Amino acid sequence: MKKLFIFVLLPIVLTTTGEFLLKYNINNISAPNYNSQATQSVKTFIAHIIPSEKIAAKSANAITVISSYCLMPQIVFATAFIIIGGILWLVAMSKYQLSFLYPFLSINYICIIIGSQIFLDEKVSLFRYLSICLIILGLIIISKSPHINKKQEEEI
Amino acid sequence: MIYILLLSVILLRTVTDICFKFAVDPVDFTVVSSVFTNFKKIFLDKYIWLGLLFGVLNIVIWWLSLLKFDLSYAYPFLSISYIAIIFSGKLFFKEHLCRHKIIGIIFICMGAILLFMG
Repeated sequence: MKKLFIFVLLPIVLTTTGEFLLKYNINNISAPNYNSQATQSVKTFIAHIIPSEKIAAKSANAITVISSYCLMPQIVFATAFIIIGGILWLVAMSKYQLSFLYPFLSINYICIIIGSQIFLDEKVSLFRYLSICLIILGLIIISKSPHINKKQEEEI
Repeated sequence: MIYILLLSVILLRTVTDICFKFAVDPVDFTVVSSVFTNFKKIFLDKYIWLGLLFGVLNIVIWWLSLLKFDLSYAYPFLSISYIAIIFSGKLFFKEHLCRHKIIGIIFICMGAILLFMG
């Protein structure tokens, strides 16, 4: 039972919490300075390789954003939650059958859509709910396919 | 145009999974006594490092997509990666498509199209 909690439920909690923290922090961080010296030099460097002006500007902006995010503790912390959740889920995939695990993955989607309404104040239309229901249905149908090539699950 | 970010995340996620599967496949986890030798074999395998590289790229481009999209919009799109993973399973790992997988893929596609239009 303890293994079930550690390798199946804990990844779900970690992944959803990490995604919420990540999105919340990304929402609240002000845009970095796209006109700084470093960004312009990256832009000219890229413009030598890829001649398009627009693509060079966008890539330079993207690199600026990414490098500024790498240094922010709140973003790194949230990403660490997601990564650890992912690793634990990989272990769960090697221990349990997919037909057992995929319904738990659906819990992930439900938590994300409900939580993003509560914590992140996103407007979720009926279309989004319907599409998530279809996706969850698809995942559960896939998980019920026979001949899944995993060893039998251990003692839960 | 910004949807290319989401498509990249889906592609990178698929490739990461494929790399990890290539690395873990030859290792038999059922034999408990050789757990440590198994770990050594995994970490020396080049596919693990390739998978980690793609994983890092995945995370980084996910940051960029969260800048542009809502979480409740972007996250369900990632379920398309399961479709790509099923097809790569057939392509690289000789897994078989069956009725359930095809019907499930159709449902996920419908959900993704509905999400895109809504």
